Amino acid sequence: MSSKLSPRQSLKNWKLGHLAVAGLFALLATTILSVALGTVYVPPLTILKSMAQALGLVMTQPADQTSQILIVLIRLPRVFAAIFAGAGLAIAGTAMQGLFRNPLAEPGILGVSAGASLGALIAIAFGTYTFLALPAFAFAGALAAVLIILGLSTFSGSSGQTTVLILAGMAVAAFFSALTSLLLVLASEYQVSSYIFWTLGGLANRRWEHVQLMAVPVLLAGALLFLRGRDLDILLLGDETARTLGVAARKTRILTVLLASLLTAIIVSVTGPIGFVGLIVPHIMRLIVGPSHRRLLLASAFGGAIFLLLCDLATRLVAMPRGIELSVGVTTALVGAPYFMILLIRSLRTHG
Amino acid sequence: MPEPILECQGITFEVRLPQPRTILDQISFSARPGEIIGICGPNGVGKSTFLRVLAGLVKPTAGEVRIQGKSLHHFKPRQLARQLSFLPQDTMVPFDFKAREIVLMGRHPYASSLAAWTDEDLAVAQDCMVQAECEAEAEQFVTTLSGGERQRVMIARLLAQDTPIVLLDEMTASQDIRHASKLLRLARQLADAGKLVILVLHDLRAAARICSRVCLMHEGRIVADGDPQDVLHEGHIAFVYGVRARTFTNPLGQWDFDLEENQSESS
Repeated sequence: MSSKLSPRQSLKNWKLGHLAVAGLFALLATTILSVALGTVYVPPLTILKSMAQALGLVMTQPADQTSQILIVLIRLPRVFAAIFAGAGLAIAGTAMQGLFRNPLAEPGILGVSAGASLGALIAIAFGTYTFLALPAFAFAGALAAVLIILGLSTFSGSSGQTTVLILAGMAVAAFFSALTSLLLVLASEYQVSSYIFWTLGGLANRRWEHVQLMAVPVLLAGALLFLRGRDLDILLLGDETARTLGVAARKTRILTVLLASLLTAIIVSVTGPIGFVGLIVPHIMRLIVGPSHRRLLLASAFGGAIFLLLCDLATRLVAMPRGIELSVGVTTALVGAPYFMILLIRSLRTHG
Repeated sequence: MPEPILECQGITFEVRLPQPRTILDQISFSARPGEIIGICGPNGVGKSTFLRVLAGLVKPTAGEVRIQGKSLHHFKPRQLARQLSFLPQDTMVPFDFKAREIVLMGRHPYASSLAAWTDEDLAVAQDCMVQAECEAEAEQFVTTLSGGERQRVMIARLLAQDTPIVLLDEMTASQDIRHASKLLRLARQLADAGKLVILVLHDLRAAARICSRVCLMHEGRIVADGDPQDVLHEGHIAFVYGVRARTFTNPLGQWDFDLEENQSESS
């Protein structure tokens, strides 16, 4: 053990409140950056003013009506969609990794993505892809997948056992994917390309309605998981030890799986499947703030929001001037995958 | 003599799969504060299952366990965690928790689930790490510790729980001789301080030296229960383990045994 503290190790000793404040400031800075940059530059002061105005804090009308519209109706909804989607996926990923005792678990482990994809395709195939019908269908599909898996695990008398959940998840995902393939064969070319575009996962053209759909579930699930943070830590010692320490292991397990899956289902249904956020952010945050769940959930929420914001910003800056509509899911994977490989190699080197 | 703190009557545990099998067969048992009881017997006779039934981790097919006269199932999880602590044979922790963080988890039954650990919790954890001889590893990640070191961290965690009933499954299996004897003495001190300590033990010499009582198990039953020297006599050992042993008092005045060289004949 080296005696000098690297910044990483010292962050592990930060108090929860300090982490929250630091996260909030980092998020605010990233938010302002994201709103400022784009095809039209908006000065940060104008952004702060119109945000304050939108929140009802300032009564005066802004001088520049155009940038007010640009900020409030176009950039801010997209930015907030990124914040809540990123935070939610990272929270769900943290919960799943803890529950499955595996840093490779991801929020969609219970077939959420496969279910949502089928739902989305059904919506597209029936031509009902208006702006809320598609999320509704995707959510229904995801919910169906989760409920079938949880039902299977309860029916087999092993409710909440991780191996049963993983196997049932694989089976249900395979079945839903097969149905999706079947529908794709029957679909028209336009429907197929709409579907493929949806599966790339994106934040383009997201409105305040979309933000509203995600905000309450993200905050609620985040708070409920945070309250169970210590129980989740103790569950990592194994069910037997956890139970003799007074943790209702089975109840905690089922509640966590349900919360994380529903949260993921809601986000995926709004944004399409955005990969790597829920896998990589909790992993990185664990290295920075340690594995204790309360700190980790808090750090992951901010980390996920900031990561997705920056990925979306990069997507917009690279693609928009060239007239390409690039999905943020492509960026998260392009950035996330190499970084993940570096992490993997580094952790193998240090741990032998 | 104090009243029994832990009792069970007619504990039977059966499994249906892969084949119907009776793991525990009508066990009745009662234990008082201050006793240190060794549960001994060959592999697969149900020692660990019995310990798990007592801990409330395995629900018996028939019979019930009572703590201070109250059925185990009427305890709320946290309430039970203040009465009874349990050490499994090994604990794997998947993420980089520091040893101290693990030991602090032993304070969970007493802590508010939102507040940070109190100074008292921190002091108890420190004291327990000293007792379990793992204070040097306090700031290390449990994932990097050896099996024996990790187990001592888990023992410190159990001590931090500070319960009147302590159940230990093979506490010394991964310990070197110095730590094994230190931990056995620690278990003895817990009993001397008025706790009930029950340990599953393979080491008959250790059982004879530190236990106030030994239960010898065979095919899901307790076949002998009482003073260690009486329970661990040659006839019982031959019956339960199927080996011929010669017991004697060693030059230090302790109970000891040797296995006879020629074990060819099956008993």
